[in-house]
Amino acid sequence: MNLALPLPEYGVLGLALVVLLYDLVVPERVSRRALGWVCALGFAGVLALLLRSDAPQVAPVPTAFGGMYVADGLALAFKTLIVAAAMLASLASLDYLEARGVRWQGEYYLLLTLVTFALMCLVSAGDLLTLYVALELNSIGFYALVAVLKGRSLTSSEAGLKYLILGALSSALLLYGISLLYGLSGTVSLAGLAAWAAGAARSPALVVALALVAAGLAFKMSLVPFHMWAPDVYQAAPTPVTAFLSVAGKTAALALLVRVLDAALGGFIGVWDKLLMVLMAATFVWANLGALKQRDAKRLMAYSSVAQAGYLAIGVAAGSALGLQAALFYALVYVFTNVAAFQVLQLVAESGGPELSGLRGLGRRSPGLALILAAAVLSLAGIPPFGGFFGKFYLFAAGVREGIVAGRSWLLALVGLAVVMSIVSLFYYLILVKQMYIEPADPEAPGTGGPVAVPLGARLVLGVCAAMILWTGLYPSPILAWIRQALF
Amino acid sequence: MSAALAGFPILSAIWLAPFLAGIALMFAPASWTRAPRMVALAASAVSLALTVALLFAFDYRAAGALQFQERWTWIADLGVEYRLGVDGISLLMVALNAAILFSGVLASWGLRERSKEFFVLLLLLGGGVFGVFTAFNLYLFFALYEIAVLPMYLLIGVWGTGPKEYSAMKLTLMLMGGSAFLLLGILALYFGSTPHSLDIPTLQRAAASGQFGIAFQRLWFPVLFLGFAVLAALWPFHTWSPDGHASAPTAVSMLHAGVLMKLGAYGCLRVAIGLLPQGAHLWAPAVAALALVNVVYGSIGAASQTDLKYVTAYSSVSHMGMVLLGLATLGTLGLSGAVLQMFAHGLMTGVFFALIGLTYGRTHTRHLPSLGGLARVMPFVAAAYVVAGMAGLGLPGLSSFPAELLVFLGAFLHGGLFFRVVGVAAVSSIVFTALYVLRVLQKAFYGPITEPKYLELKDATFVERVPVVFLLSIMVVVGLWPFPVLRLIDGALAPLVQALGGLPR
Repeated sequence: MNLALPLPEYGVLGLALVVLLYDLVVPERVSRRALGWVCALGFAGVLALLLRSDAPQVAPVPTAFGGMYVADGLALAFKTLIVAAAMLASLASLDYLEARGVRWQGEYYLLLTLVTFALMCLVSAGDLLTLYVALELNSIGFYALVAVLKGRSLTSSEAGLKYLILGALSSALLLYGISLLYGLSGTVSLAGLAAWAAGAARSPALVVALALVAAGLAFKMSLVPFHMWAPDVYQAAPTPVTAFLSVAGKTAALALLVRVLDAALGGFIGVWDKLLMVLMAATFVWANLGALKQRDAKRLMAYSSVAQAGYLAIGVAAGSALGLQAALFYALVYVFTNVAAFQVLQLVAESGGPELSGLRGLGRRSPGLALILAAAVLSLAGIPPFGGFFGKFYLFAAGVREGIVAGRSWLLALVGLAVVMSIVSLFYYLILVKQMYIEPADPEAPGTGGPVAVPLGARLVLGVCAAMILWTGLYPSPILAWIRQALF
Repeated sequence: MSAALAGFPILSAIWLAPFLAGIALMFAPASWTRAPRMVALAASAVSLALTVALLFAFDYRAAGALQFQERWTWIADLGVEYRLGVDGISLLMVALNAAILFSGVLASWGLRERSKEFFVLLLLLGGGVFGVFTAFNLYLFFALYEIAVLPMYLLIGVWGTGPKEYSAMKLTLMLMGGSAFLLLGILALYFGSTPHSLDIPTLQRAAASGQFGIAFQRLWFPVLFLGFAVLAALWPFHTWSPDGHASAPTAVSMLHAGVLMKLGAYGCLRVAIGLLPQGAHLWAPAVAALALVNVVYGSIGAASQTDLKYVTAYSSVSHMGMVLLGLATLGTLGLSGAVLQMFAHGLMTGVFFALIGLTYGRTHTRHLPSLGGLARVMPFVAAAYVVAGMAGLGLPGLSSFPAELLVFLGAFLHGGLFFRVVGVAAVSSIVFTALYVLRVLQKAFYGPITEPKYLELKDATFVERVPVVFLLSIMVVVGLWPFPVLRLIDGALAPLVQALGGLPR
């Protein structure tokens, strides 16, 4: 057994220990703001480690702990995204927490690192049990992170509680599905399941098990109708947590969908792809229509994130190498795009409030911020020359390929629906643009007068994200090569 | 190809000059108020000068072949290449865009409000349009197409008049809705060809070798055609056009009606008809029927509007119907007429919108009944309007005449009874065209002066006259001597007509 295999995870755990010690040693009256920088640097180190490691290019992939931990390229790629998101979230948090005088800053950063650790274990899970434990660890961490504004914001506590209850329900569904799968196959190892699925016959119990597993995963991915928690939680959580939850949480959920459905249960694609396609169709329609009438910027972005999860799932439903590559590429674009959007909204909300109208006149007040937010939402809408354009092109290509080459015309119809609904999404993304550039600033409203202050942490976040949004759109080839190498 | 241009990436330079100037201008200090228009003029002048050089260097004997090619691998995974080239049709459209962009910048010379942002978006739009007309990889084509359409949202939303936000949103969503279908169609072409390709010449060869089966063509031709035809304002998807053109500021109306709508027709011709010719045959009667509605409905609409911009916008719907009708005939005559009409209408409508902008800037109304007798104080504007209006109703000697004649002949000589009827019905629209053109002239420019304050108005200044005279002179030259242009178009269409398979002319 190769104990050195989970080196990145050890790094993040070590970072968690550093945070814990710092919180213990440094006197109470000293601000914990510096922990944001410590975490950002720590995550940057782990990120460098991940980027330098090569994905295994020959089977069998290296495993540890008796096959419960898999270090394949898929895990490596998704971990890179998760750690990058964690780094950006730390940078976005430091001034946010300080401005609000949050008391539990030490705990906040500890939870952030532990959640990251759990997400990394999750995407490396080689076994339904590791998967479940890692899923619970990250969910519990997120419940607390969402409610970290306790005492300052009632809605934050409410959202934490709501998330906890619904999350527990979905975990129970998933666990029940897992137990049924175990009962049917006699194994909890994903590799074992794959071997079993290749030859097993379909049975009613199998359909129930698949439905339960799909429901549990759809909750984490926030596919309609399991998205109910998302708008409330996204709106009420501290904005850096919203950003982290929306990108890292969703990315890890995507990895799970790939691992469980495509890899382990690929033999039953004819069963679960119907389930998934129903969820996706509901997601495209409901999330995009729901976003139309939102007045709160974060809530609007919550609906947008739900819709984006639907697009990501196209790659999974395609079930092909092309689909997987496209989903991973889109997830990468989505991480940086969504973080950029939430970062701008966070800065603007400091002065202008959470409503969309707080964005009024931003194009004149802070042209740089307005430009980045415009680029981010247009990228989410799939407009060139930003990363979202190629990302969607690639994802839809994976879907259309299945439709034309493999004759799965339902998937083709689903892509058609996705394309049409992405025009609906353009409407609400353009509303953000309209607020910034067309609506004049209201001289009466507080905080919509002068330019928005941008602290150093946020500057770094925005710089990285803007560069990535452009890079992924203008010259994605190196990134595609990296993805191909990871997924070989 | 002349030796002087050997090795110089002239097509990249043409589209990147405005595009990069726009991006650079984005980062200029906000305190600049006069410099943006100079930058815009310089950038569009560079494109215009390069286009003139291109016109001289182009090999007219090989108008059907791609010239001045540039080809680089961009994203190897999906066969995405940066591939540029011009054939005769592209050349004509590039020339049109160069003329209209240059004139549009001059027509916005007096713009004061947020001028930096305005010229940034105008340059991005103009650069994107150049790119689409020269792109020969479908991915590049599609990306530039969206880049050209999207700035319109802010250009209308910020600088427009009337219900500008409504019009801007409607226009953007309808056009992007069309492009959503394009995306599907393009992917279908990619996966329908073996080996998969997004390269337009490769796909043309694939089409010629019969790789796209009849069922495939029947399904995907309407998807691609409608995707483009929304931008060409095909009825009933034209509703963005009157609102959008009426709300847009002058230069934006000029560019939009002048060249952007041509992108739609160009896409129909190059991609939908060019790559799926059998599908085009199957669907041609339906397209012709809708185009006929465009022609007739647009001219009736123009005759019943009282806002000057709405009159011109509806006339654009009518004239674009003529283009689409020409395309639907799928024969040399009709197709050449369609392409020439794209060019002629672009020039004509550019003049119209420039003149309306001039009038509106002075009278502050475009309401026809409250205008009157302007010819007495603004003789230049009135005279120019007369010339453009005569072009609109197809007076011989102006560029629209040969174009419309060819379209009508193409429809009439198509052979099928249906097309003959459509052709005859389309000709009848000239009555309404005469009605609305003469009504505007008579009401706004002749007759008694309705308001005493109109007596104080000044005629167009020198800067305002330049774009109008420039565009009008091209119209007259092409109208009096259309044969070089027609030879260019015929040469460029020859491979396509051959692919369409020896239809009766």
